[in-house]
Amino acid sequence: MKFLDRFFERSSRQVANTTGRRHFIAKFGSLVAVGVAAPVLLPIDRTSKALAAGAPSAGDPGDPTSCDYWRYCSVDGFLCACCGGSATTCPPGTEASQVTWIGTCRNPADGIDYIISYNDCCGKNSCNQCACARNDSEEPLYRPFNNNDINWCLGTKSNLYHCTVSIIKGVAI
Amino acid sequence: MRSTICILTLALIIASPMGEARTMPNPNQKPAPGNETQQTPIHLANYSPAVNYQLQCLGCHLTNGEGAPRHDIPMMKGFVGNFLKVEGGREFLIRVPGASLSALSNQQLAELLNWMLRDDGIAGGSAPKNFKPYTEQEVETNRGVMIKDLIGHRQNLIEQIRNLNIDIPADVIP
Repeated sequence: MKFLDRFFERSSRQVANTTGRRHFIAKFGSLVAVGVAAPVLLPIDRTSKALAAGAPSAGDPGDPTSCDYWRYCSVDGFLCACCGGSATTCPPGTEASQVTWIGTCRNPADGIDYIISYNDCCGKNSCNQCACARNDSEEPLYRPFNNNDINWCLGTKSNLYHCTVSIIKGVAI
Repeated sequence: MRSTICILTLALIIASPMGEARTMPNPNQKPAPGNETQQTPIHLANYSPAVNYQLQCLGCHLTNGEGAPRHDIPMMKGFVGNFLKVEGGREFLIRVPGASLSALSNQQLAELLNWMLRDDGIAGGSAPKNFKPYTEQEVETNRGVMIKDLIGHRQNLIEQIRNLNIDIPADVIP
């Protein structure tokens, strides 16, 4: 017991002698500052973010983690919003397929048809969260450019399908 | 003991493809809110050529016709108009599967081609100066004529273009 007492007394005195509280605050402060800046400075692939287009002008009703969200009217796969990404961004560690298929969905808030791009996020195993199978603007497999049963990861380095994002490209007029 | 292992293995083998499948269609699923009515087919929708390009072509050929040469999708940007300078090239743009098999009407396909071949369009000045716009009639005549050897046919056209001393970018030949 005495040994433990002595050990802790000595080590705490040692720490008190060699460091100051301000020293700790200064070190901790710089650590926090670096931590905040790191995501900006680190070489992160931001292409998935660049894919995100603007939100519809007259409201965007619905829950992006539910298959009932209007933008998902033709989605067949797992929602990236449930997989660590969002309705328009791929989860970290996956690559967005540029090659994809495009359909239209009607926004119930304004009754306008929007052009939606269903990009697959690839490079990790299936996310298996929020599986949706909607086919409102889908066409059969013999029209491959309007079909959602295709693994669109054929446009990326890895063919592993992870999840799907739904990006608004514009208004269909 | 052995029979338990056998049954377990069998169960796992039967269950594993279920886990692999992306999604199983749910027959009870209703359309997304606001999308209850059947969508207007694209040949009746009266969209502009730019929207039709987005809906029928952009997915693979990308926004400005850059294509994805790494995956056999040729670049059209700044080049596609050169096809009009060689024999059979004008018909090729109608007969190529992406165009002829699209959901567009003959009129819409003619308009889309004319839109694409504009100097400020995807063709980017590669079309001949005296370019005569496509007509609905012309699309109707050529659309149903199948290209039997697609790759050979295209290569032949590219060779003809090369013989006109036109530079062929690598991305045009995926």
